[in-house]
Amino acid sequence: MEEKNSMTAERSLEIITEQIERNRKIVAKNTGQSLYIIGLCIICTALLVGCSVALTGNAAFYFLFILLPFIIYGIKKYVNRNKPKTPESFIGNMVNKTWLTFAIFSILFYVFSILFNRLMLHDATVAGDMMVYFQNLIRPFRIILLIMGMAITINGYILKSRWLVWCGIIGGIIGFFWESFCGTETILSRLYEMEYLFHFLHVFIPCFIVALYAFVGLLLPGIQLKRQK
Amino acid sequence: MFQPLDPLLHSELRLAVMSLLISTEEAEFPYIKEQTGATAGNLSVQLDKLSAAGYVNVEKTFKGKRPCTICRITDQGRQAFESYVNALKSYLNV
Repeated sequence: MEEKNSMTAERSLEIITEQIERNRKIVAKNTGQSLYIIGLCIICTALLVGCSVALTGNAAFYFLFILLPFIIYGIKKYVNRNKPKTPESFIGNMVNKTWLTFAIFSILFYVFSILFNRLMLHDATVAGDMMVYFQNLIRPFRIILLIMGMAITINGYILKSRWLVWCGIIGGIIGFFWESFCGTETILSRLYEMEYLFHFLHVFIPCFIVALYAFVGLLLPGIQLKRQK
Repeated sequence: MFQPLDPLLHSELRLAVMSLLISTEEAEFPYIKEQTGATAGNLSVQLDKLSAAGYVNVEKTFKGKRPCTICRITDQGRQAFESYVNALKSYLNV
């Protein structure tokens, strides 16, 4: 673009429209790429954790979820290397902050529930001459699914995508009740004779649900924004 | 009666820069250069003019060891841009 001072009013308007539109597209594409990377990372991690825990029986693999923010940061840095930093838009900011809030709350709640289940609230009742202890467990997964549904719904509103809003509402509520009423265990109870398969699916299905939510809530909107014309 | 057009904004490159900055919070120099297709020297001169008029705030920092120039539109710049667009509207009868 050269320095020209003799422009018509039409040309001025054309420049303004062109620049704003071009910038909007680039920012939308960048937000889409960001959602795409986050979605892909969550899907891969959830499936990896599901398979690893199911096959080895080592619950320590769940802590891979805590490493997710670092993995995502590293991949984003690598993908955007040698590229000038794209400015942030209000929409992009809102989407990123929604997911950041979700990540903070879900990780904190997950850690809290693990500690709570291990250390706290062991009720005791007297049954005859015996003291019977039992534990009130927090099932963190149902709350995580609920707030994940909320995050998807809010993103749907921000991105003005009706299907995303409905996916978030339906997914969040179904996920919450599914976990509250032990949907996975109820279905798997029919497989009690196949002990290995039961154990595998019991661990794998919740991780698969997280991957599914990430696919709908992050990967699909990411692809949609990236392909926006 | 036509409103006068701000001569500082009535230039292709400066107008493109202001249009770009109006829709973002801030933008780095290489990004503006890429989007406007201007040469670094020309863009730098135009940014200096906008900065001297108080329309743009230019911050020179470092990104690691590399120098990094960040540009932001000021409130004064935003007002000037709005007046310019309103003036354009009066010319075009929009």
